Amino acid sequence: MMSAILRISIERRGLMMGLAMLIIGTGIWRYQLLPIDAVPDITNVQVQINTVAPGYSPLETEQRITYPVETALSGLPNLSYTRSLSRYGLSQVTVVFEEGTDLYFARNVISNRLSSIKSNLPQGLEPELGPIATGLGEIFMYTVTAEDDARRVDGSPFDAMALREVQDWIIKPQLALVKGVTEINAIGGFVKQYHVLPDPQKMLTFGISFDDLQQALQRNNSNRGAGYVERNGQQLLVRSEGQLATIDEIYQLVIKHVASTPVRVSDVADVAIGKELRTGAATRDGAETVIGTAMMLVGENSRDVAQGLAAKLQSIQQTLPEGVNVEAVYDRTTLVDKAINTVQKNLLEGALLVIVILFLLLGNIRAALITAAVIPLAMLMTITGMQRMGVSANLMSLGALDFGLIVDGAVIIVENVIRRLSQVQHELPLKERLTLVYEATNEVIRPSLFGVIIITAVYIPLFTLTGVEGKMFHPMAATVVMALLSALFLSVTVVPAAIAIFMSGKVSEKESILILAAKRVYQPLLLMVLKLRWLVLSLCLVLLAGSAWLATTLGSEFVPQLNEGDIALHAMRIPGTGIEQAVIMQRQLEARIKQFPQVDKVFAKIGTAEVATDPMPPNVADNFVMLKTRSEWPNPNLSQSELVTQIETAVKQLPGNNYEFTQPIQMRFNELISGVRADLGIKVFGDDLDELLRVANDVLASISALDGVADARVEQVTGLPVFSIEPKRVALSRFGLSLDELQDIVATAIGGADSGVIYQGDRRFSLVVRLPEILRNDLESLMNLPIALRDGNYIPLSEVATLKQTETPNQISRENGKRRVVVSANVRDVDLGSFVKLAQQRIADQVTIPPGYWLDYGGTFEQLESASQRLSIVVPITLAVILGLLIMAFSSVKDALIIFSGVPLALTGGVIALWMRDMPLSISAGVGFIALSGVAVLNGLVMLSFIRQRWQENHDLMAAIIDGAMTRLRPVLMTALVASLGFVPMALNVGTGAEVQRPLATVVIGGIISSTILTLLVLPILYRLVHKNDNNPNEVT
Amino acid sequence: MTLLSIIPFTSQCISRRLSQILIVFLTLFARTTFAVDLPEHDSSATMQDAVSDQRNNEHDDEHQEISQIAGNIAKQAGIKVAHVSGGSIVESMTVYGKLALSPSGLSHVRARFSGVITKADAVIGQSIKAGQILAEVESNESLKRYAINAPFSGVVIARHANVGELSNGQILYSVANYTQVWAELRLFSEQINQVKVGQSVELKLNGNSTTSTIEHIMPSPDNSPYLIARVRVDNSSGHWAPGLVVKANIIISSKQVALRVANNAIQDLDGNAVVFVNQGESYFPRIIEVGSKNAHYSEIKSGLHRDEQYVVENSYVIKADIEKSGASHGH
Repeated sequence: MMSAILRISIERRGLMMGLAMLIIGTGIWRYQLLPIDAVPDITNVQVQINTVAPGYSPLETEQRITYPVETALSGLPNLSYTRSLSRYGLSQVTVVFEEGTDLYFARNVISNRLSSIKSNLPQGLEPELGPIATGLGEIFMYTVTAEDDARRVDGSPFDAMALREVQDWIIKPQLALVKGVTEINAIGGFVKQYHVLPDPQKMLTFGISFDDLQQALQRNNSNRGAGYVERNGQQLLVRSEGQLATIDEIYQLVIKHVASTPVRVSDVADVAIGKELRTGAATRDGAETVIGTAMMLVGENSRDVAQGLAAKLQSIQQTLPEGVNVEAVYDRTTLVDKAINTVQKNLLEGALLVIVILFLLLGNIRAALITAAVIPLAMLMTITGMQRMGVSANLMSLGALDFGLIVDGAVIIVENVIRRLSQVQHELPLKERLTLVYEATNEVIRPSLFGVIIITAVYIPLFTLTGVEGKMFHPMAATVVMALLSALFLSVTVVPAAIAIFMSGKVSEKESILILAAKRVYQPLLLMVLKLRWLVLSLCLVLLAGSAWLATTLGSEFVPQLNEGDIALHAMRIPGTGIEQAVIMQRQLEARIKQFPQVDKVFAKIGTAEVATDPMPPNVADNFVMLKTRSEWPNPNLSQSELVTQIETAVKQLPGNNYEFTQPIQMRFNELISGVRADLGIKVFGDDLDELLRVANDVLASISALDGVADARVEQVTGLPVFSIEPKRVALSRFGLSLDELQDIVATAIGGADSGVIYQGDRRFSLVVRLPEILRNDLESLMNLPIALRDGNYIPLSEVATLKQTETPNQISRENGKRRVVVSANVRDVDLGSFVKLAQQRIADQVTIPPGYWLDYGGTFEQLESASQRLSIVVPITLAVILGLLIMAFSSVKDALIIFSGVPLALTGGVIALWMRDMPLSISAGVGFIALSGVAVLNGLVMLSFIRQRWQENHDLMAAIIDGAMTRLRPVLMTALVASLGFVPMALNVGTGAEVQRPLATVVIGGIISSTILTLLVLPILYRLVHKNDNNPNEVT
Repeated sequence: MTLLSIIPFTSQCISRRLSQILIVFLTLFARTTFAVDLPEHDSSATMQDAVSDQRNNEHDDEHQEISQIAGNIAKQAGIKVAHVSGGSIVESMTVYGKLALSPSGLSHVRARFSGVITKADAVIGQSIKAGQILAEVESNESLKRYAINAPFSGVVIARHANVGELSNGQILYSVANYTQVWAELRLFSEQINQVKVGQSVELKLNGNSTTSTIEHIMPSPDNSPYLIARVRVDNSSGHWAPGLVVKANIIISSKQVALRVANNAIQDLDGNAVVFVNQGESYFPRIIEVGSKNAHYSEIKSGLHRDEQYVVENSYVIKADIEKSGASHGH
């Protein structure tokens, strides 16, 4: 079949060139559509259901909202699990679906279920689905600030509320229109409200209750249409206007008549523009501000969307009031550009290096160019494939591409054709030339095909990774495999065709000086090692053992963390910290961080934003520290981790804050994935929170004593201080009050009661009745608040209720419809698997778990265990498959094993390279080892197939070995050099994102160096040892 | 060579030694390449570990609750200290009540001897002096005219008399004296115990305020579930009209205490009321026992000594610093 393809390719060479053009065209077109991002999206398929429930405490939120919502979701198709969080004023249920579920389908089924349970929820509460975005969605943030001398129309300065109004009604509607944006989420400032602030004393004078006031406001604030009349042929619409528009109009509203005198709002209350009871605040550089976050729709191109937003923001600036500025503070484009620059630079430099090497070693510029042409063509085919398969271009997916590796197959073919053509020494007629090209190609097509197939095969284990690792490495493996297959396709079609067309004329193959020099060194060396074979082999074994030991001393990490170039940190205060207190503490923190000369901007989101994509209590602030470009740093060589350490030391001095340092994207991923992040998580499920906590503490006590346990702790669930106004039921009934009435009064007085909407054009603001700030803040004296009775009398609140200060849970977490408390622990210096078994045993022995309660073991240990188990099966199988392929290729187990011996030898180099560069083992490095074994096999294949051929031809083993090795020196050196030099830029790059690729490149380079040396020296020895007793090569032709 | 053809390999090729080598290679490969999957934490986890390590330590040292804050940082954080000292603590209680005319300040004037009203000059709203003539009546018995005089100075608030009518014992004029009114403050069961006759009261109405004392405490006239504390109010200004509701702060206790602290200094730490004592750059929580308190100050019965420095403003920061071991992100 191969021969047929080859023949057609050479005969229809013009067609093949056309095909190449087609590939280029498609590739360029698809490149425009390819989603580009910095990192792969590791978010699972999840939908958030947020229900904002103002005034609900965590317990009420759970009971009234979370539970019905969760129950409604059970049995959804493709449902993986649900988890929920009930906080003050917010219920968030996160529904996670099986991988591969269509997000829109998932949202659809959820919406259907939710609409059917709406009647079960408290009135006025509306569950909403979170934005259609993933962890990469927060691509753009901006702040709205005002200059000091900026004035509003009425002459007052722009305060936080005015800025929020600008954000909500001028900026947001415009930004939301940018293509690819799913949500503009605002935090900070105050949403403007109209407040009616009654004076209890005056209300008492006229016998007016909160309810009277509320009713009056609700009934006197609407417009009504009344159809139309026709007059003299003209149609006139009839309407009755009654909407309240100004504060004055509200003042004039009549509440009721007392002794035929109208009592107006102005008689009993003040009306003013007031602040909402906010759940979140925002600060920037130590001052309050308003922050808007643009969320990108799933699957959009973050770079395009962010650029669109930035451009739109520019034009919005023109429409803002004088002195109000909107400024982008976080723009994903910066990171994506940097990361893609890094990748591009690596790929470009790698490609150039490859071309130079090809030219130097082939000594023929045309041949070098033909080979090099495979690089862009394969790249464009890969891009087409990526776009079709929905793989985005990012550091990980492009991170393992090595053009050296890609062109390996082509190199072997071109090299052989050149060699054959140059042997001819004179110009051939077309027909003969074509035949020669065909023969020469056919000669090496199988080894090179095999080589490429084997390299492809070694990537298969990566596809078996699941979860986050899977999401990170599937794109990488898919891209490499696509690139290799593309190159494979090209090297049997376009490459031979191109050779046939362009390698006309006398082919001068100048053995380049490099090759000549190499041969001069190689020949005596080869002879020598063949003599000292036992010494060399033992040296190899020592080396092998040494590097195996070395590998165990290397540190290890999971995936090298992409350095995003900016710092994010959680500032955590004690539960129950008020939002204004948090703002004060935040100011000090930001002022301190801002003192660092490296810091450009620092801003923070405190608490929960308008759309609760990240439900944080007010005691937690997400800080973003934007750094200046390095050239502006006092010491541009300061590493980012050192800077983080410096900042950490500095901010640790500030009282009352705990910190967790991370990076913006990483932070968002953590928030969304949000599983147990410790090695071992023991989840206690059950009903009663106190009991859960007791069991959890018992579990904690029992595992704390184990060896190797670290950071063991119970999730914090309590500690939210509450003032509980507890009704005296008997007293209530004596005064003829119902519990409901009392609760309404308390809720209105302190929390405020929504009593309508004030419209101003498009803008709409709530009209709220609540006590003046000075009264509602003083809870003790609030107990003296007079409550109107139906008979016109009144009683103080203290008559019918008592005030108690208690604590409630600050949040209630549930998983799969049941309350849970997590005990988490990390494990140090002990085998994780056995530790978990021991812990389970111990807990079973020591902890009594009441009926109705149960434990569940989870945590990273699960993923690690399943990943390593899967790999320990898949990797040997893959190796066996490769071996099988080799055996197939050579029909000889011995030869296959000889080739295979290159793998461990190659790995030694990788380990040593890691050790020399002081890098830990990581999955990235692991991918490097995978690529390496492929290259090592390819090297051996090339060498061995020729030695064998020679041996078959002249039956002298020794001569065949030396001759074969000498002939194949050039292709082996070439494939090795291009593969390793192609990775050199990647290994040395220090730009953004390089840290993800560096270990991989380092491993490949080190491994190829060792593998090449050993292929050239050890493989002949092994071949000789294995075959010295065989008189004849296996009879294969 | 036909590489793709599978030729059954001869048994001698598969020597035991070779298969052993194969196994060694396989395991070595698997180990070196994927050893990486076994025990690692990603860098964020390490960072977290560091944080939680520290938390853990703090947790362990719970008995050593102390906060160290450098002077300049404390200043930035707005932490202010003061000396514990003595002073007065005035406790008050807010109640509401209606203003009422003094019973002695209202007179319904009638004619002593029935007869025809011959003159009725006083009009509603007119201020009159004691003894001033309101009306004249011609007695039926003596047929003499006699004057009806105002019983005291005040304002005419009602007039039922007109010239030509018979007085016949009916009310001719009502005269009220508003210079003194009474606030009838309602005391409910929770409040009764703390209120005594003689306590001073601050009354507030429409931005005016005045002080007075409780003169009587009496049950409500119609068996309503409250007591009425009566307070005399001087109404020479005329602002305190009967019928209006007044707000009253009754001073229920006022005493000099040896030690007192500002209320915002007191924080709750593990269920105890504490005040943070400052020594140099260290801040210690001190469990205190609070005696009486008002809106601004609390009496310290025990736990503090005179002239100790304690944190007055932003004491929450110290509490937050001491308790921060519990501060976590909670996702």
